[in-house]
Amino acid sequence: MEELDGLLARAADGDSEAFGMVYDVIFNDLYKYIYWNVGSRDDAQDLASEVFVKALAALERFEAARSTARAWFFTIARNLVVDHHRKRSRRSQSSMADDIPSGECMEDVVETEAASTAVRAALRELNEEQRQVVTMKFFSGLSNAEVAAAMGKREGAINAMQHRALKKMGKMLEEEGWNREACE
Amino acid sequence: MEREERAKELISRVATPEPDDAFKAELRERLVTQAAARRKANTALERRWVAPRPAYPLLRRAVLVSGLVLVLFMSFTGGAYALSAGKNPDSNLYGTKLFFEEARLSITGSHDSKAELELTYSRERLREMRYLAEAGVSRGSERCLNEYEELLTRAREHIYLLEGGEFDRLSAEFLRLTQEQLEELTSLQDGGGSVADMIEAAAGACDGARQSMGEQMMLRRGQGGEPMMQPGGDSDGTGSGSGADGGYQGGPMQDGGPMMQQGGGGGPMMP
Repeated sequence: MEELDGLLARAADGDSEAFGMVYDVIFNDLYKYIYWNVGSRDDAQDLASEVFVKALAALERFEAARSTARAWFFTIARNLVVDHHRKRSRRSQSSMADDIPSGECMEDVVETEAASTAVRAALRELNEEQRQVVTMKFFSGLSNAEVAAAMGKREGAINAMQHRALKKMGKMLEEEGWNREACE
Repeated sequence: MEREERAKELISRVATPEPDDAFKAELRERLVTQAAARRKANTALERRWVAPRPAYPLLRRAVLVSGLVLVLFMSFTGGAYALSAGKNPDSNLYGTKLFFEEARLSITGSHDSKAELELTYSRERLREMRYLAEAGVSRGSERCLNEYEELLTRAREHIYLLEGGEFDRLSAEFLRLTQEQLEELTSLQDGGGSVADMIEAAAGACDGARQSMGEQMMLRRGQGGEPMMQPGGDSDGTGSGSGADGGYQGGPMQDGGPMMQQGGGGGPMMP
């Protein structure tokens, strides 16, 4: 399939089907990133659609020289996620931060709801920026350079944040018994 | 390293719930239609040349309406501002106070001024948390905590946008103030009562913000920037006097000590 930047350039020139192809290429990655930030499928769908509506309205402002198409879309998504968190009350955030279910070994819980809950709870323990980095990189598959571009930071800062975030998540998972030893 | 691998492994094994197929298809169709309509509209605009209408009557009307709105706004907000100043999170006027803080931030121009103001407001949030802890009141505590975290994040982001000496000065100030705040939060943790969770979360946010700032300072130092100032740790009392126990007057750094505190041993936190 044609490269995303090329498709977006064609879309900016008025090729509506090219915009549809951009959508096909990037929707799932954006949706995953948003889902793991907001924790709800419906909210993730709504915000993902908003990303594309905003992108469509701002197509002329996309500057290929300053950013890649992927980073540009994730910048829009990031702003929406941050706004979403601002609007949402603290209470509803807490209700999503489920406790990590403990005492189960990793092999037993592959692709189970319990594992998802554990990851979601661990993500909630991260600060906003750390969560952004982890979700962009590990759920949506962005490179560190793309994450840095989307977040307006240097790549070195992203590396440091990623390192710290994973360490924090790992520690939390360990404290709750999510380790290999528990399986033995 | 093992912890990181554990987290990565678990992340790689969880599945994201799939979006609804019908939703996806419908959204795609809608977007393509909108993109096509947008093109048509642009083309029509390019073709059609409309003589510009004289701006003067419109401008005069805009000035009159703006003036009227401003007069009404000033008379209303003046009273509301005076009433809401110094209110605590359990007050009905707390939202008004936050609104005025936000308004002031929005009209503050430079990143350094914004960061200073946000740090000042973070101290006010801390004062409010102390009030809640001492009074044993939990109403409004979540909002207060939310605001506190938000202010630290925004202050940090504004400082990151600074360069050279301005970055050095404010990053050091950030570390100094958050060190004071962390100490105060730690002292509050024992007697937190019904708001103990809030105090703990605030301490976590404060510590996290300090670590991130420390990393940023290290990164900039590593990139061959100018020599960094050491943020004042003030364990020996040299240059504290931040007035963290009160003195909020709604302005940036009004009750704090000198902005550049040297020495004191509290360097940026290392990962």
